[in-house]
Amino acid sequence: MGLENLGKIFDSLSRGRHISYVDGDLFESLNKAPGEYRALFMDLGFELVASSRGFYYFDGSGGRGLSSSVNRIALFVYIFVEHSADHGEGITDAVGNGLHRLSAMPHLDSERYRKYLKNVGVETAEHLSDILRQMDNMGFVRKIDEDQFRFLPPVYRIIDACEAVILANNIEEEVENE
Amino acid sequence: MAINPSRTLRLASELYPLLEAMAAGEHSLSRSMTLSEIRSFIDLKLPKKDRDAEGIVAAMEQNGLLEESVESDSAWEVPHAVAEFIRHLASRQRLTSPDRIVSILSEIAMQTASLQHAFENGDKDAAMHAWKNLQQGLEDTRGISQANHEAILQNIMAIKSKSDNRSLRERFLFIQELHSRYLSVLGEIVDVGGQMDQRLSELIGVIKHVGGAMINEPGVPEMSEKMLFLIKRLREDAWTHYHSAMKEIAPLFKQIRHDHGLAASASRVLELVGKKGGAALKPVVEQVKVSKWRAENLFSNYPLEDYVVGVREYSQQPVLGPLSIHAVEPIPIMLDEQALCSEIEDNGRIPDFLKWVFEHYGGFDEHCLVNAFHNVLMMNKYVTKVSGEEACLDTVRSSYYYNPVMIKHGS
Repeated sequence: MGLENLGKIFDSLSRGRHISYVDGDLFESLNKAPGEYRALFMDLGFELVASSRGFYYFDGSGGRGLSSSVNRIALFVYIFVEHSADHGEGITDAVGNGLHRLSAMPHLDSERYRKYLKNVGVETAEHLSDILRQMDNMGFVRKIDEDQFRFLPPVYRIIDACEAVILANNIEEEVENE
Repeated sequence: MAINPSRTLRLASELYPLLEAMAAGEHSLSRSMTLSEIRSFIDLKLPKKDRDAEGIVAAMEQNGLLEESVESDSAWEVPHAVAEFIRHLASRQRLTSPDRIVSILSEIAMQTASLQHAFENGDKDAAMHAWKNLQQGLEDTRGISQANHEAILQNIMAIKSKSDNRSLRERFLFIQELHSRYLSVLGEIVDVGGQMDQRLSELIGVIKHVGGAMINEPGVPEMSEKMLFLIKRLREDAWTHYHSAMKEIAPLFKQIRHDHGLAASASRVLELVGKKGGAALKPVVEQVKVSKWRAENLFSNYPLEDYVVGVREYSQQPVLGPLSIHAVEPIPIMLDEQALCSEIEDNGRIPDFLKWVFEHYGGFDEHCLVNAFHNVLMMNKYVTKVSGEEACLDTVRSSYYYNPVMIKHGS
């Protein structure tokens, strides 16, 4: 039996999309035979990663030109996480269940957040819209309309990467102290 | 004047914050409040429409909730019986430290020794005195266990419904304290072999073995039976309360600890971005590598290209040409403009297009990059805006002085 939706799956994954439950048939097809897809993609030189959080993506070790996008997305997410925590929202709930409005996001309301965002060239509401659109393309969020969105499980790739930053900084500080 | 109990309770419910404060006596040593103290309190705690201090005092007095203080005609206090009732209700909402149970258990150990001594001496009066104290101790311990259980459940409900108005960090500290200061300690007390288990086993031993000497005394068998029942009920209830509270709190604690960890990490990263700028996010980029590959690049895959070329040039009897070595100019790799367009679309808005092209396609020849830059602009496919300020871009071969062009996908 042939692998279902192979073309569409490959097209999505190779463009940097993370496939999760919102991708319907594509996700279902991958779920049915992840090992077979993985072996096939491996032959083509792509590594299919199945996350335990319920999504698939291509390891993009050869990715190029996306650093600025990931920077901006990461900062967008980290500000959201901090703000939610300060306002008594559980992160798991806020990321897992909440319907959010871009217009209600705190990113441009606080001087401190604006300062962080300026480091990655984000200064206007239009820039935030761009970030959201990129996140939608990559499968980190699902846009309901121009304003409303939900986070999707792949956003945990960004959230979990926090630890990498802290670890790198700790190593850097240790080296400086020696 | 006769008091209507339902009206009294309704009034007590409406004025509960005032009643609780006065019953607790935290506002002063004398436990009484003057009219001006009552006025200040209700200004803070009651809705604006209910702030007639004189009217409130009169209504409370008429309904038996306040009485004039013995110390002054212009001060009021909560009658003793009402204060006891209010304190009892309030204790159901507050956590009692496990130390309180420990001190009652010490008292139980002391009274067990007294009971044993009374049995050995056949002193029925002393035995009855120890019984009463032990009964009180067992009931107090059970009451604290039950009140703590209810208070914990109430706090958990407040956390779950987010009506506790705490930030995630405050919530984490609170639940951590609840877990470590109350539940863990309580677990050690009520568990098999814990302090409570030991004290109650000692008491059972005294009742069953030593008490046999007084078994024929009237009232002793009934008292022994009642005491054994109270011990059994305390053990079962304390165990059930502890495990039920643990069952409620464990998943919540785990989730809040996890969420708090994530939030603390995010805040730390933001702090680093504040100090070091966007460079602090480099490890994120290294970890979250996103695939970027397009079908247009398929034939730049060298093995496949070699294969296709090999097939095209295949002949069954190849004619061997002369052996010669030519100096071959390397063919510059061309930038795939289609891929470039896709990246522009993914980025949404690029403030300085030329600089971006050079930064993102560093491996290509400069001519190729400038050509691609030019060709994309000529496509008239994107929104562009030329900046009024001149910029400079230094490359290995040249310095470019130009007015940055902002490029954006969409209308």
